[in-house]
Amino acid sequence: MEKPFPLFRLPRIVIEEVIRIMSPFEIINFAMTSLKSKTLIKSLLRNGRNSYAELQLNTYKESEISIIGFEVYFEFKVTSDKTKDGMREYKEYMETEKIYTLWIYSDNVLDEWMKVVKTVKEIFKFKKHLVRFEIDNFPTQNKSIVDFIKSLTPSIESCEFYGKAETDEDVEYFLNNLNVTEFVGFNLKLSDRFTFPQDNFLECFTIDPGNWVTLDQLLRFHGSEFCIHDSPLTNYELNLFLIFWMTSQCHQNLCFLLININDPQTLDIIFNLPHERINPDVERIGRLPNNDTIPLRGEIDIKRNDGMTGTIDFKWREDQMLLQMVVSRID
Amino acid sequence: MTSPASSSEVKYLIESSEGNTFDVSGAALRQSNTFNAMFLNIGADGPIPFTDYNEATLKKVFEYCEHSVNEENYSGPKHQDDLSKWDLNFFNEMDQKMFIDVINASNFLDIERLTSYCCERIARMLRGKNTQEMIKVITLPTAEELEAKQKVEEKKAAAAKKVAEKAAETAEKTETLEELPVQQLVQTTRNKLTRKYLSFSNE
Repeated sequence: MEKPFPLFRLPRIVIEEVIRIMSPFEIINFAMTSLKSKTLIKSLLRNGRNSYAELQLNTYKESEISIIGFEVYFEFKVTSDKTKDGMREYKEYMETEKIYTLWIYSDNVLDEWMKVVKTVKEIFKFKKHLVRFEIDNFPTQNKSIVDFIKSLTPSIESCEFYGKAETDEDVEYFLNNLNVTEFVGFNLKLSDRFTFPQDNFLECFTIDPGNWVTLDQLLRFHGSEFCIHDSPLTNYELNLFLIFWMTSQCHQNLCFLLININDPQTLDIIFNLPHERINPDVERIGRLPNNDTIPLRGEIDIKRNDGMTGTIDFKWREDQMLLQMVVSRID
Repeated sequence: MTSPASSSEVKYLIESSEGNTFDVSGAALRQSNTFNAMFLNIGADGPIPFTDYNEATLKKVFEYCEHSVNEENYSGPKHQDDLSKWDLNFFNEMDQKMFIDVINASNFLDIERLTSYCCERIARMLRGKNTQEMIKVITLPTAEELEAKQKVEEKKAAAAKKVAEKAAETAEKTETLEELPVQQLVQTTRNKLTRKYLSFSNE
């Protein structure tokens, strides 16, 4: 069959079956052969079989587009290394997750990445979107990356920031333009003046380092889970925060808090509030706000005025002491 | 000559687009869902006209059906690597035109196994290829073809919408028992029983 194959002259049901057999890699490449192919693929995939759990967009050096299905990952990596063009890899993770990776070469990684992302967004449906934003890789194009993502989806469920540039501008631009609805992870250094610009409720924040997380900033976050490292909060401020929580003046939906302690010598300042030290031999069952249960052994209880209990204990991460609080209802 | 009997000895006459006729065994024909739906139970008085397809194509299709008569019942697509030597020869000896004719005929006759292997073979042409390589392998549709295909789709969508609207209209008019909320259903039943009991005791 040397001549080009007239696929589109076949009955629709046959084309559909051929597409069904293809992997997402082939469907994406196929959709990118022409605008007409994309239109046809879109109409063929309209009736299901094109839904995936999550789309992950990573602006790493080898920019990635990951299509996450049920226990199957398809990673499309755009690389500037010509020797990797067309390379494929298959990995299994934890014996349940299958990861297929395909590298494609481009001398303009970002342009090609955008082309693929646009095609992927047009032909597949995703329940969730995660953006891993590496601010150092394309420093002059960070804003256009944000504008590009915004043109595809005005809101995303999760985002994570990485980088060493110590600049707030691109992160602020990202958060001012893309509405994040579930999770924000800051894994980069921002200035002490940085303020989190969104005031919508998020399920989870992870901030490392949290040099910019002042008490005022912490009180303004709307969320239920916080993991904060390297914050400048003093024990006195942590005490105030806990008192505000106990009197229902802040963080009504708090489920979990992990935050660094800057002065482990003066923990009594934190506990200058009504609290109860529980015998470490006593095991209790707490009911979490999502109705799951959690076993609790010992620790220190503080009570909110509506009966919810914050169970506090302390951990170490390298040389940093961490306060951990789990909120539950203990009957 | 033709009968609805299920014996594999029964032969059916098939008529091609050239008007030629040839024999096909009942067992081979029964792999075609189209045949099963149209003729199996009622039989056919004369040659069965599959006149959209030429003799060579139909013979090729039924050659496949005759060969796979004794294979286990079809249970979903097989990987191309699992095909037998005979299957591979069957596909390899076809030129592109014949292959396309066979797919079309197999699709019309609704022979699942053959259609599925053909699709797998097409998908294999594209497997592992990048966009540029795919462009060389397939003929992209012209604007006219695309337009024609879209028109067909639109027509189908309009027809489906009409059917759905009609169904919705009918559903509105008919209040079925299944649609009643459970509590209402219980109440209705109780009322009926009470009425029955009362009328019984009145008697």
